[in-house]
Amino acid sequence: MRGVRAIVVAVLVLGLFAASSFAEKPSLLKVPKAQTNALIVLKRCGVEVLQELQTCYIIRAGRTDISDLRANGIVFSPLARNAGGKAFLLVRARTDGTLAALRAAGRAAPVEPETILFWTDAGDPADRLPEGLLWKPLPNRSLLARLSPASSTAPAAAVTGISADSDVALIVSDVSTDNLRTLVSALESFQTRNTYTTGCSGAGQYIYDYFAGLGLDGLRFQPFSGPHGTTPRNVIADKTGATCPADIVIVCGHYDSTSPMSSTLAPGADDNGSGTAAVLETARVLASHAFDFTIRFVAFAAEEQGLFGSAYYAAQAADDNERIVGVINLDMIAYADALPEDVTLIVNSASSWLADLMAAAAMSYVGLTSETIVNASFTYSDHASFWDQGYLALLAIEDEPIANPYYHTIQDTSPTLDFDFFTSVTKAAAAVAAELGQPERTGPPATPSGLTTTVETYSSLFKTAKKVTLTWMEQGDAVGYNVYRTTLSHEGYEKLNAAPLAAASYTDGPMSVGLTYYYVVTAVGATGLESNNSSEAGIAASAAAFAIKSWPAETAIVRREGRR
Amino acid sequence: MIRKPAAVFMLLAGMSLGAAAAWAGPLKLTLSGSAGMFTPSGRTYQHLYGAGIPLSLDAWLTFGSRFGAAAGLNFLSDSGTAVAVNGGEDDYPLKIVRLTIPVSLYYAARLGRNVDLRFGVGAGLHRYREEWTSLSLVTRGWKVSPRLCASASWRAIPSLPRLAFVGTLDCDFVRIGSGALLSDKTEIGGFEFLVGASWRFF
Repeated sequence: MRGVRAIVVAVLVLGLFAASSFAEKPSLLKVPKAQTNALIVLKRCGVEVLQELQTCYIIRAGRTDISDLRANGIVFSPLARNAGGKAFLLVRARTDGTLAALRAAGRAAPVEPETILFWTDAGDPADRLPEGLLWKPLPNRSLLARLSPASSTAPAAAVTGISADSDVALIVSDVSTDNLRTLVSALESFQTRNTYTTGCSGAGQYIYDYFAGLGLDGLRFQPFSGPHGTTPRNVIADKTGATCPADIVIVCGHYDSTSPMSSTLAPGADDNGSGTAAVLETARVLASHAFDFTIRFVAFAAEEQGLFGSAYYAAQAADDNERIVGVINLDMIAYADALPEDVTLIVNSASSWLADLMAAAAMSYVGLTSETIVNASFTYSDHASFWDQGYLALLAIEDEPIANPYYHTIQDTSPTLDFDFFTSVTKAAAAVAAELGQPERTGPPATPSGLTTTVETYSSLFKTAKKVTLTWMEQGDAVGYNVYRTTLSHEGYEKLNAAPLAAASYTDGPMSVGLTYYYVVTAVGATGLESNNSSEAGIAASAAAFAIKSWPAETAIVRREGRR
Repeated sequence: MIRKPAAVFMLLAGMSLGAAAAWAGPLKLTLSGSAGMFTPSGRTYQHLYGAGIPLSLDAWLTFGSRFGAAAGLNFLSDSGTAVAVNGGEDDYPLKIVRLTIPVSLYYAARLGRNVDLRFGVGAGLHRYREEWTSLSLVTRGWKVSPRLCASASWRAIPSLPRLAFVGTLDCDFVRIGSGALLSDKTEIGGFEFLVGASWRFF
């Protein structure tokens, strides 16, 4: 009897062991982008893409996913096994010793030449991270649905000029150096704006009150679960759009600060009193003007602890399907290590048009030069939270790499700032926000609204064709309409109609569509003047091209059923 | 620069010709013409185009009594309609054309006095072209792929011993990468059952 019991126990133990070994234990993998159709296969396999970097994707994949990737010829390399339930950080590695330092503190795997994945077997890896490194948490949810082949492969566009608009020039001229000094001093006066201190909440209240004084709409705190049980608050205010209020331009910066003595003293004049003050000043100069699109001003909290505030905001925005036209993130924009200083604009490929626009606005309205860096791996400020949700975002920063010797120290104070440079960057930010928001103008017809698309998709063995029907609301003061199309959001629109259209609808195609197409419509007045662009309507390649689940088995992705 | 499949195909064809030329014994050359039915093995192809009617011309070169090489030209044209994936009601006619140069080595066996059987393996060089006839959308390409074939010929008329009726079953495996919505890879091969006549020259 005892022998039988022993055998039963042994069988159970072996069964449990076998079950555990066959259970799905997700791994983190690096999938190089430079593979034909890599993103398409990832989409069709439905794996979790946690991070897009400049040269690769970081994905979370189980055994089945790995089999599918292999079956479809996707090359990948493992970064971390048994990744379930763990927190991971992406760490900037600019020196040779960073990898060794990280390995001494926990576990680390190089991802790219300047990017290292860091984690610990237990606890929060942020608590074990060596001081002085730029880092960002690896998101825990997939951005796969928001990635498109076009966004991943869009080339870095050249900076081109824009013709200065008198309304925008008026707005820009209103930016005041004195106001910026006052605002930075006010933020410094909290001694510290570290997330865990009352100084931070006091600064949040100050920002809230400032927005309230400008008479902005939708003023609110946005509380969220912060690090170590805290509940920091983002501060949000809107200049609501007159024509297309659902289309949102975001101007943002984080208002928390840090230093080695952050519980008592972290003035953070440059990081990021400067960005916050610029957001407030931009709000002031835009508040009295009317725009087609909503311009939203956001001061984020808990950036220094891992982009908590912006990550929460961007995830909520994605859940709510917010239509964000573009994000201008201002972080450290007031220190000049050499004169004349230029502003550095950091974007991913899909957002490069934003850098083009800001560079052109900076030059046209302010005479400020800029340097654009297209690098999806620079994820160490709040713009990255928007990239992680598939939104287009730009970081404006004084230098990359950071040249401010007072960065994250108690010496980061107003006297170290260059207020002329700071004013110029703020003016450029105000200009690009106004350009994106589209000031209402007298003379041309009102901007068309209510643009919607209906897509019919047809397929043969080798080609897919789409017929796109556009409709919009008629404008009383319009005698016709123009329709424009592009394959890169907000860039390179081409007019589709030869003469203005009389009806408020247009059919495009059928045509072979390998990329997402974006459309805008303008109204043409009796004098021939053309309105601002309508909100952009995209035919989402991701939604249409990858949603076929019910087609016969042969047409599905190659799966090795027998190996599951 | 020659791609690897094309190199394999040319090597195979060259070996067949070389074997024939080097063969010291008697050679038999037979030409055949046939038509029949193509049944696609890919479901997507089947859905779009259904079965087709291929035409084929082949030359059979038998060395001695057992082995031989065959080459030919196979033409397949079919029409269909694009699939509306998300509820569209328009019809977009499609046309597909496939031209194949098959090369195979076969084993020949005799069944009775008047029936010859051949079982072969080889490769096919396929050129294909799919067109949306009402739009300017054309896809063309080529692919070398393996094939199996079996045929039977029957000398039914004693007074014409060089004439035979031929039945052939060919199987091509032609899997091609596709950028279309319906599949990542599409199979344009399948089974062909052909009947026709052959004439032995020597």
